[in-house]
Amino acid sequence: MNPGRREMIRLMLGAAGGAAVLGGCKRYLRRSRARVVVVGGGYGGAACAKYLKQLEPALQVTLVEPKKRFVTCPFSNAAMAGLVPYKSLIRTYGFLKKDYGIDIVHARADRIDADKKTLLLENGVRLAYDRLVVSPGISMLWNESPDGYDMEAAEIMPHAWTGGPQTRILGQKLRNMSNGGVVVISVPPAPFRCPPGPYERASLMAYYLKTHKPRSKVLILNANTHFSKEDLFMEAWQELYADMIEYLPITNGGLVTAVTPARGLVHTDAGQIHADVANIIPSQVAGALARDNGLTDESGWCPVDHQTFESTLVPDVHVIGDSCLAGAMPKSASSANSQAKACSLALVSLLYNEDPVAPVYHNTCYSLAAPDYGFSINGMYRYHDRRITLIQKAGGLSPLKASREFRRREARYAHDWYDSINMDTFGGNATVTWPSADSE
Amino acid sequence: MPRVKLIPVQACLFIGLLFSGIAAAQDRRAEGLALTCYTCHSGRAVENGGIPSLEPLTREELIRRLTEFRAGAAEATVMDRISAAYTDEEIDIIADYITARNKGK
Repeated sequence: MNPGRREMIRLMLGAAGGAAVLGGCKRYLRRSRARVVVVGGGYGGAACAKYLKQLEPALQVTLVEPKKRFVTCPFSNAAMAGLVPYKSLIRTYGFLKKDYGIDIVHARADRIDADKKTLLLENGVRLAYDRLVVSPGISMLWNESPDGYDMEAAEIMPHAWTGGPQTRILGQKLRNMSNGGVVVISVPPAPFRCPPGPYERASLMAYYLKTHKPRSKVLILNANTHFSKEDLFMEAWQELYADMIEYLPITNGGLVTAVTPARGLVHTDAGQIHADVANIIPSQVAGALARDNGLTDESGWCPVDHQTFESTLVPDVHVIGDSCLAGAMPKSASSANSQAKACSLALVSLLYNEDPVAPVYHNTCYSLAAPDYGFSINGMYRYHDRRITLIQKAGGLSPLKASREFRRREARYAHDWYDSINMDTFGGNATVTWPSADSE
Repeated sequence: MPRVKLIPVQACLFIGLLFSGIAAAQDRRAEGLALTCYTCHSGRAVENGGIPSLEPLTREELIRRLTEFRAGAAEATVMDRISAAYTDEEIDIIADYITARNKGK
């Protein structure tokens, strides 16, 4: 090309095409410099950070998480019952750093400055962001829990509803209980993390007790009228544990009003029960970071745009996982994973000045009633009328009266689901938890 | 130099930018549909009846499996419930995405 022609092109571009080209350049510069900070290294936050880098390696992504080792809630009931070792629940952040180039900052996030678009950490460091994602999980609503139940009481009557030490305390108490003892599980009013979790726990505790302490009982006190996968659990209990598990909904004395931890007493509106092991699951709201930074509404959870997960209360801050109000989606690891993908896609679109696409959201949760007895609930969702809406013709529960082979297959799939979602969230290779390993 | 010769250059730039925008939006749509699969299908289990890996599957096999699951024509535990959410067009997009990803590996 001769200089005259090149000059001509330049002039013409300046006159007519310049706007488009400059627009493209600006877009490129914006996206290459764009900085996303993600707070919370659980199933929402870790997956969001990973997918941001996977979709757009040029982004600068920082993951803020105080803990160096993440202990999963999924499969914690299985660990408690001795189906898998506790150490199989541990995940770390090495793959996200090494394979995806994510900056991992092990510190506690403290303050969001939405005007200056900075996040202040407890150690005094300030992180600037173009977009902030928070996935802070749950916090316990102690003042709406049964009277006498607080953090100190939780050492004696563990909730075991966050991964880690609480799981081990409850597991230890189950092991120390004598044959003929009574385990009480108290279920809080909905919404709470992992709706079928208390019932899987009751099942796997009954499995352990049936094998080791067969005269024992598990009593479930539910502050609601119904529960997730109710018919499947009832069928399984009848088949596997006969009268070992007793269930009382709120309409039949299931509301726990107070506890006396020192004497092992659980008080309900129908009387008091002596529990040899009490598992009191408190009412829950969004994680502390969300509550302390104006991201929650009067419900205690975080209202968000259902397509981008941007907070409707604080601009440029996105909330995913258990903390957010995501329409029909339950609070689960699988939901958080799906929201992380949708949010990372939306963030890339927003940072590129593209229109966000509407994905199909997904939740699949397995429960084990015994090591070889599993079933699942699935929900598929679309963004419809600005809400995450259940697709009626899809999703649903495992069938009732299925063969034991069907239940065995779903138990196997539960283990594979666990390995897969952990790889999809934290990177790295699968940790095979099937067939069952010895505990402890 | 006649001015007319340069118009195709400009047009190409415009069309190129336009297409990159459309391509990006199509990519995002495919990602929004297909990334869901990897929640459960990131594992390595292929043998003795675990959740299968998607890597050995061709585009035709993916479309056939998803369509059969959706129609209730293939034995399933959960894939019948999942595949019921998708249209024919979406199943094609998902199959294209997974095939391209498999080839990239």
